[in-house]
Amino acid sequence: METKKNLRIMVIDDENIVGNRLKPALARSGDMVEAFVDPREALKRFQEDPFDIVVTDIRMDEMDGIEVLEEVQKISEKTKVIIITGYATVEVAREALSKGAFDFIAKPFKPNDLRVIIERAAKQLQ
Amino acid sequence: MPFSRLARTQGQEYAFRLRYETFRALLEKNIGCLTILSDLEADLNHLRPSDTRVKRPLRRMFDEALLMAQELNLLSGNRFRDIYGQMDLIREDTLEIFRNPSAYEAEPLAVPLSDDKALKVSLVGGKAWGVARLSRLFPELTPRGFVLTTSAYRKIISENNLEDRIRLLLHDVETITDQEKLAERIKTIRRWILSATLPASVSEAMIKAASGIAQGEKLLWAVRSSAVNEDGRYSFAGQFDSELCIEPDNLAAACLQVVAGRFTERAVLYRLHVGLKEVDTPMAILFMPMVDPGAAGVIYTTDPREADSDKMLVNAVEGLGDKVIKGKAKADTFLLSRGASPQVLSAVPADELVKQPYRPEYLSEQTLSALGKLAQEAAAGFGHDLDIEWAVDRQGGIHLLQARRITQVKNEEVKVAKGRKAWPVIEGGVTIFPGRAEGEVFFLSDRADPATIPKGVVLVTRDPGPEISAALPRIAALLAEGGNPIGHVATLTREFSVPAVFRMGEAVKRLTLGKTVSVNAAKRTVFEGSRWTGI
Amino acid sequence: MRIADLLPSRAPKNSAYVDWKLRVTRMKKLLENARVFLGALEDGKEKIEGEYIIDERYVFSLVEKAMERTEMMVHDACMLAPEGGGDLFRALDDYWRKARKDFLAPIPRPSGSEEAPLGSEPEVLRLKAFLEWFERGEQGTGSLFSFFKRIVDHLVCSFPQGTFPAQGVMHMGVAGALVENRFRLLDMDRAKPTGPTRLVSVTDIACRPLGLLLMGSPAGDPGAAARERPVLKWFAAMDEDHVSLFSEDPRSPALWLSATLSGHADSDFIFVLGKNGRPAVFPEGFTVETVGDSTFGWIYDVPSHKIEQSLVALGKRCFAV
Repeated sequence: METKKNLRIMVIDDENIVGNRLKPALARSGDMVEAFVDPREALKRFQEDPFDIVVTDIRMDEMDGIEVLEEVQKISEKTKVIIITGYATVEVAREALSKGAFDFIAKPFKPNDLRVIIERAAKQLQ
Repeated sequence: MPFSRLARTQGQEYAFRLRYETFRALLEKNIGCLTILSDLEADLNHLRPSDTRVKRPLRRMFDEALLMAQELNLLSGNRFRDIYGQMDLIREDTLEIFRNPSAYEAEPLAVPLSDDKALKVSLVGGKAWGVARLSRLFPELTPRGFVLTTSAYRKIISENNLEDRIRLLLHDVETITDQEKLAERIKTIRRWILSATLPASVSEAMIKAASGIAQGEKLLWAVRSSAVNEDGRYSFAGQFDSELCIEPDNLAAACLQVVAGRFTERAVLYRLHVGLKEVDTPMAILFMPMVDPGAAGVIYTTDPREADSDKMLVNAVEGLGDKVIKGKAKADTFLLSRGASPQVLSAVPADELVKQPYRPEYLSEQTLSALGKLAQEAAAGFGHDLDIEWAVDRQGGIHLLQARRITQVKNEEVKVAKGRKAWPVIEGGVTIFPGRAEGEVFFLSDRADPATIPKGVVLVTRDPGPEISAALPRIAALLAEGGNPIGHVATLTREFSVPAVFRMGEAVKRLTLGKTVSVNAAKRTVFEGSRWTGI
Repeated sequence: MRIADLLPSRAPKNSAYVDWKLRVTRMKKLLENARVFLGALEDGKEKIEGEYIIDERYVFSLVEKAMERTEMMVHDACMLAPEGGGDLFRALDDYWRKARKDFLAPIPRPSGSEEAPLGSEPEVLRLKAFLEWFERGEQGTGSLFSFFKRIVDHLVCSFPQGTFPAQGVMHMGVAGALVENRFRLLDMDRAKPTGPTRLVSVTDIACRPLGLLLMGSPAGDPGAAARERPVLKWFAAMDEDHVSLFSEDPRSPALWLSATLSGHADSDFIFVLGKNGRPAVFPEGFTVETVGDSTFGWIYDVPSHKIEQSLVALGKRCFAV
């Protein structure tokens, strides 16, 4: 059985509840999770030290998820980006997918559902 | 007065409230129905009308409309109660289509060209059908081959979960104004197709058919698209891809490449522009063993550059003709006379620097003459002029690879009302949004940039596409030769309250650029000059 | 009073055939609104229990969904039975006021960057408060759910009597164990048929839910004894996926039975309404409520086969009586 490398996961969402819930839920399996409410701060951190996985909300006041996706891809092509959408933004999800996002998940969602997507993304990293 | 009794017994407030809420409910249902309608319109691009997935939204819409009729009648003192009977009839007639769906026959996945089924265009596509017919006329000269049918194509799409995904991405293709966005979506579809896998049944059928033809020989294959609706009324020539010199182990990958070729920007926009639905244009994939050619090219049984020509035209290159067919390389051009013994009338080399008279080594006059004779026989067999793809192998043997009808475009006479100034210049079509408007005529041609449309004009266009939506707020009226009355563009036009008439026909071309016209969209009439001052 | 009575006295009235098509369609619509309304409550509870990550957009949209559907149900109910509708609208306005003040107002965020304990985030608290009000109400104000029951009660009280259409219907007889069931059937997918009344049998009807309901009754004519048994009259309006069944007989378990079986879990739904202690027993899986002297129950959001089984069980109760 191959040992799973621990992932470095970044969560960006301007609503506190997302980071609050995801940190404990995802860190359970040994992965390292950092949560940000400010996308600009998040990108600064990403620039210093790219993460394996970025989970970002699609619609934030400061910056939208598509921009985050593009910036992340510029810095690190390998990083897998997962988009969180509100239930009414299928249109944007389409756009995100065609721009290279790995997948998307719609709010409300269970942390475990996101974990499944992250595991799939992790497989592609190897 | 309506509600009078209610007002007396229950109070004015309730009567008024019920009236108000009924009106609101009516408006809400209207929006609901229009949404169902335009969603259905988009879905019918991919689904057959008798598909059960169409039934549910259809029924919903009928129910909503019936309730709307009740609400309307309540507000108007039952003035429109005739609607109920009419709606019943419409519902009955519409649902008839589901009571008698055309029986789905289990069609084969792969069909050799020699099989009778290869003559069924809806199964094998235009290109393969042309080859199949050729092979009936010239069995010795046409390579054997086989076709992965439209059934196989549908299976590839559905078993890779591509149907819904493609439908999702192309759902609103009519209203995408951002070309980059569209290009990206189409690229995504191509990526999905290229990373798909052939269903086992399709793969097996393909291998079986290929080995049946190879009979142990190691062959190289040409894999080509054969679309339904191709080479018929709509010329798809060159729209899709072909893959050449494919080894037997790589047939599956080549097949997917060809399928992906159906989704290029040009192809998708072409289908949209011409009004072809995705569901009506499935494709088949034609497999033919490669000929090792000394020369290859195309022969036209009548010179396509001249109307009613009595000469034949040949384009030829040394080696593989692939690049010439795709229009990527220049070919030598020969004119042949018709008749029992065609003669070379002129020979124009691709390279203009070559000395005249031009006598190519790779292609002899006898071969050209034989080719001309065969082409005429083929045209006679088909019953119309053809352009035929041919190749000559290294032993001098002629092979006929494909036959297509030469597309002829005629200019039709347009009748336009003439006469007194009080009569409309053009009349007819379908009202998209009523209203009167005046302005100078401005034609928008297919390639023009909508940003150039001036303010306050009466915009005239052939087929209104999504690109005009940016201009809708500033134009006075919209007239279209074609157009879809319940498509997304029509919806946008209504949202912007622009008086508009679609499907006016070719008569719109007779309007004069820059001249002022008056449009009455409700009556679907256009007059010269300004009729209503002060609009 | 019926909606037709609201029309000016000189306005021509609709035939019973048209009236019932409108009535059935309107009742279907009311039930559809009810299904979404009930579904909103279920969905909110599921999100809380499942520890989903929600956002305030979800909370607001849920509140609005429940309120809008309530509003639509009030209008539908008034279209079916205008008498007394004024009170319903007044109550509706009270509920809207409450919803806007307490549940649609901006959600207060804690000023510090303190993380709220899991399960007590502001969005979650708001959702919990709304669900509480939905189901149980607050001191002094009724719950939203009780208002829903009131709407159903309003309908029952004004059910039309003795007005099933005689024209444009098909006739069908189905023998039960103790009664003879006589149906008048109306096909929603067809225009009003002309010509003599058709007599059909169970095998002729293309309505899936009705077919399943009738599966419980014995096939064929049991013979001479049938003629002496009491007759239970039914009226059913149907299309392929749906049946709305009505009976005015006090012996029948159901006053109104509505069943949609389309194979789509998001629209399949069975609703049964009875009066004076009937139906006495509902099949397993139904949620049952009482209001006034009516009892009603429903089932939805379950796999198709469960709906099918429920229909067979219901049929046995209704027709084998």
